[in-house]
Amino acid sequence: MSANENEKEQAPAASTAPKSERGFIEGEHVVLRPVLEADFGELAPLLAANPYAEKQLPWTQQRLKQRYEDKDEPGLWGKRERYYVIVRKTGGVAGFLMQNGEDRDSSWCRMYVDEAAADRDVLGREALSGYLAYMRRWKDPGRITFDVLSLEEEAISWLEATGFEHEVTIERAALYRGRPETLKVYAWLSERVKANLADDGPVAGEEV
Amino acid sequence: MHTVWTGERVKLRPFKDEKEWCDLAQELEMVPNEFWGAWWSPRPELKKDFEPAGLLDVEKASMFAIERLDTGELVGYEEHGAPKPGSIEAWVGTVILRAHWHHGFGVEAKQLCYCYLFEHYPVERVWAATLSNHKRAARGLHLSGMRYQGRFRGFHFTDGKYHDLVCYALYREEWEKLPIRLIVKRG
Repeated sequence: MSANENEKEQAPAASTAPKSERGFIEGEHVVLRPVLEADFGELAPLLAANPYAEKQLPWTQQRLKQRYEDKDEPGLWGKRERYYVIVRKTGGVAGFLMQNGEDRDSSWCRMYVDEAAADRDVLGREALSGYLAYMRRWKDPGRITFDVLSLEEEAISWLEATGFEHEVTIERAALYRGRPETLKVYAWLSERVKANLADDGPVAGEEV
Repeated sequence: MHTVWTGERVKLRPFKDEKEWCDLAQELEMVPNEFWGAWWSPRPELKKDFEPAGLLDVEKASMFAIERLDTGELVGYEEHGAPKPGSIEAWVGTVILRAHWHHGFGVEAKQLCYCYLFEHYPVERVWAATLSNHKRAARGLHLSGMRYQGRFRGFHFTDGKYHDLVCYALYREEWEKLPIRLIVKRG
């Protein structure tokens, strides 16, 4: 093959296809990727709308920019907290997934998908299954944990459909619209961990 | 706000100085914890933790010294997470020097910390967690008045096996019935 032919092969083909987002986690309808500055306008209202928002100050673009430029953990992509935006392949931020901690066996996650989205169910399921597939392929996690408010029924259905199991129900764990609400913890365990679970027996106060 | 909480066996108080904190932390960390494993905080890091406000921090976590009432010895520290604005829960953790185990110091230190948290923050729930193979710590949490809440499976790897993290919690109305409320002296 001549150099000229090789160049022809590598040249991107002209496309008339609709805009298609790329990201390190790609599904049929969504991609997950790190936050870009261009996302601020769409992401800030979603951060503000998620049920945990009331634990913090209201999310604004200004505050998001401040977090993005944090000197210790810039780009909302740090060891303590890591944000993936959930973007439609046709364009548009539809939600986010926040991973707390980077330890492969003890990171905790929360996820939110725009409640106004007509295709919320599809986006949520696909984002979650995509994240799990990505983690399994590249990070070899032993355990992935999500917590959700018990009133987030759709998110719970995504977790259950993706293979996460309910572990603990914690009453009055968080405020939602001024009322203490119940939190549910779901986890996915790798085969490696499942095969090596210790049998430590019951602990004090545990009903067997 | 008070600075010292005294029970029948121990008192919780702020650390006297940087040296007291650093010496205790290094004595505790010199031997790996048989359940959690080894960790080590270099002295400059310990000093950095102490410097801003003597380990009292409303943003992250605070630590109080645990002092025996009978001998005046420093026996460990009680740590708690600072509830963020809008949050209705807080966590606690207790570390006691091995030479002072089996005297109930940890249980009472936790109870004093519950008093501090419920009296000063609008929290509904104080929680703590330990490993499923650390029976003594789980028993201590239970004896302090907390109820078992559940377990997070396969959370911590030790000696070829994954151990569960077991979670305990005390709610405000349960704390209101604890005898420690009639015992604690605030100063």
